[in-house]
Amino acid sequence: MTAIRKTPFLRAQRLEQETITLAAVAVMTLALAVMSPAFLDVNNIASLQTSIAPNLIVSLGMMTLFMIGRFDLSVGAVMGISGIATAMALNAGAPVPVGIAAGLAVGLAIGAFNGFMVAWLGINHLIVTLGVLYMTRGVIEVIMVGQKLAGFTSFPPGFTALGQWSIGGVSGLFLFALVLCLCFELFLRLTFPGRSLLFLGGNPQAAAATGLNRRRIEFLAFVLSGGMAALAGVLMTARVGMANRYMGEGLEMQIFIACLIGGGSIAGGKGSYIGALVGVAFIALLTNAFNLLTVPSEWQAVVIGGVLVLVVVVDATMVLRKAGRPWRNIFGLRPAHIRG
Amino acid sequence: MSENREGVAPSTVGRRTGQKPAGFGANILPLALVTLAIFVFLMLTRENFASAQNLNSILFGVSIDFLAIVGFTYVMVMREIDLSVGSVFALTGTLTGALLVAGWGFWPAAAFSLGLAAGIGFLNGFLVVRFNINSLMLTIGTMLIVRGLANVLANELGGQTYPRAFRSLARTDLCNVRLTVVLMVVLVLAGWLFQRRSALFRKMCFIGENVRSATVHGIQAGRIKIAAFVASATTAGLAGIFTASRITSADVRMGLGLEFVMVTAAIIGGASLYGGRGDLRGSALGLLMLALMLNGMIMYDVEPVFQQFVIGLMLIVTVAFDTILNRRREG
Repeated sequence: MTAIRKTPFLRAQRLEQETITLAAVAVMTLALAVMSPAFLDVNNIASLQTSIAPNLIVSLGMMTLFMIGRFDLSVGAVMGISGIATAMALNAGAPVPVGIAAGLAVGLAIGAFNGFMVAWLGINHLIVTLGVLYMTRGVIEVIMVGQKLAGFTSFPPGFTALGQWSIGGVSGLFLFALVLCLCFELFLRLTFPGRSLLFLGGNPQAAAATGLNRRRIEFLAFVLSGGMAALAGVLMTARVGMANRYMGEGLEMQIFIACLIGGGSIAGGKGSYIGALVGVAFIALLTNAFNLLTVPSEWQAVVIGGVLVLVVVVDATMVLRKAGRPWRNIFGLRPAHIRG
Repeated sequence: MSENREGVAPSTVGRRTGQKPAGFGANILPLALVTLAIFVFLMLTRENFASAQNLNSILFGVSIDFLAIVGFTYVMVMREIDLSVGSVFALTGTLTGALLVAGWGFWPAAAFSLGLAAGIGFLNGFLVVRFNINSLMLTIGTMLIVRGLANVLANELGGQTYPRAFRSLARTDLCNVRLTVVLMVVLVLAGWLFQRRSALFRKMCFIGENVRSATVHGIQAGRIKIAAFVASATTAGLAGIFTASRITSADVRMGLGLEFVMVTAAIIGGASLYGGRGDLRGSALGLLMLALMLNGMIMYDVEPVFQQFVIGLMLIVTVAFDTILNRRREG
């Protein structure tokens, strides 16, 4: 035996979990194509693209937070409120760029608030972003009091064109999200700030000791997450031509789970933007499968929750394995055990 | 919670060593005064507020929610969290109702549902302890699963009202007072006694302070944690049964967001996300205070949708206080 073994490619690139999820996505695609003739229909492919694009944009921000061991539960609400902000600005007669800027500004501001509370005041990010989720939803309800359920529906054509262009049948939004994902991945792999994200998440003390400014990075990551959610909100408003109180509802859990399945870990130090793409595709396909096979939507929550529990257990098992526990100790009936 | 698994040791070891595990009752008096102040303020400014009917309904609502917070508080003492309470609450209530509609007797139906709740709690606790999983993550997963199941049931029932006998359960009176209110008083006293007298509670505080050291000293942290998760799910289930009886028909919104109300109330009442503390009396007062505030907002004709905003704000503010107080104690 040689003393030095070559590291397998996937491990060297840190793409092991991403590959497993990709395989699951491939299997699911095949199964769906066989089981449901409607799956490969043009309309269904188009709706898949529309559902993946905004989720992917949001998950890029979320994945950045996952890398440094944080997450943001307010993204769904931010997406909703920035769509509404843009719609209100446009309805008040603002030109299209100003309307878009208004939406983005709202998202960035909420992200900055989250970042300030977490990074500088040191408050638990779950609680902060959850509180902000409630508050933002409350504000949305207050704004929309007296509006009809569909919300704002009239937009200037210049704005809706933004969400509805396409190249050769592929939705422009989808392409945009993919390009964005690619840029983020290159940023992560090739630049110093990108690498430092994983470093910071993997070992905060060491990262701080080498001079990384943890608070600033954390703050910026929250601002990014808010901004990406706002971007997705604005683009989706342009795509569907509607801004109402339902936009982004429950999205945070989908994105959260997509990032976990796609290789992120809430402990930080793991994850890639490709993984976010794969995770989002997985969730989108799952949702699509439920629709195509006409399973009641309540079961969707059950399956997503089940997948989450499974992923968390597998993740934890891997951590225990890495700590040197033998299998029989992990799964045995009476593990000798010191927690902590 | 989540960020602390790796960095636990340096930040909490040595915190409050050499002191008694908690200043019992230290928070209770100010909290009671604040609650009383809100009460008096509402009573003086709004004439509808002090009507017997309104006060009764506030107390009744609090007493039902309180049942769910009993186990939850003790889970928080051990630096874990159980976000599945709201879903378990909904599932147990809906399931009991569904079984009754299907012709079961009340006791078998309630026992079966509570057994299921206890099973969910055991699963939570077992997975958390065995695989060393962050309870926050895991219970978000179980929250989704259980919520989905509850919604499946609620949709099957399709708004059917429950049998009359079940509907009258929540309105059972004991010596002219609602059964749940009596239960709340008894449980608060029992909890007080438990916190004052029981070695188990001291152990729980110790586990919350520093699980590694507790284990080294021979405390069976795993077992106690599992027991607390079971208790949390069971008490949530009990509250769910009473709530289902109160709202008289299946509702998919039952218990939605309850877990975050509980976190807020428990922290107002002296528990901490950083473990080692918690007080059932405080949790009860916290719930009462939140209920009074929400009721006061209704009295002042604030948009009901604004309540969500206030709950979110309260959550952030209380946790901010919790964090800053903890930091000061460490320093």
